[in-house]
Amino acid sequence: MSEQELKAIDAEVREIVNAAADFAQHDPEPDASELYTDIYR
Amino acid sequence: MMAELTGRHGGYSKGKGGSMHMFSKEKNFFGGHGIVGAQVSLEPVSPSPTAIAAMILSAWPISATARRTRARSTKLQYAELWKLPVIYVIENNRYAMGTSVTRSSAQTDFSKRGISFNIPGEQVDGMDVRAVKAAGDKAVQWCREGKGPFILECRPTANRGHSMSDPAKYRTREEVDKVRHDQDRSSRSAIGCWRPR
Repeated sequence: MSEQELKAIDAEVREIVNAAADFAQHDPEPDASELYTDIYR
Repeated sequence: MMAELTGRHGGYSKGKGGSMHMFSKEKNFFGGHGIVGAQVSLEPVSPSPTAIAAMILSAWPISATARRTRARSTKLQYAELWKLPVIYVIENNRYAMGTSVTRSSAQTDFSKRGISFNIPGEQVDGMDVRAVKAAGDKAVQWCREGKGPFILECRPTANRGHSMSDPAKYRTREEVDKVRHDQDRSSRSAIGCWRPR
């Protein structure tokens, strides 16, 4: 595998991670109404 | 996955689970589980019979709770009876959280865990990427041929405690230092590099 190919993989991975991080940062936190969802009461 | 780690609604467990509750239905990834290893009971729900469900288990489930749950032995039983294509990957770094496996397990060769269910197993050097890939490919082939489940025990070396809350007092400083010094390869195990294809 050439250095060029490795760099391409690096760039692709970075792009995926950045996109995921971006999504996570702009996604809302769970609604307060979810507080007791699936919790035994 | 990122959204789950940061506690957002779009995460796999709606942002309420965190790192111990990762899974992906569409990718057949059963992920982590709050009770480590308890996901062993989940594999027969794999949506497609041709899909191979690989489960990464740490040394934990074998020495701790999950091994003793009846659900686990029942599922291993049915995995073999129904010839389900499941590869149980046991990542055994020889230490559970708190102690060495030699102090908590009478049988330390975990690839033999399936013997009573007639499930074959193999041990492989968990620090050797090529060895893990070769053994993994063999296990995949075994499953694809419809021969049922397979247990793959990967043995990486532990170079630190189980987690942030494990100071690893049960090992000598010298042993840990030696492991770290001898590891000129990656400090991570090779298992993460292998994906069934």
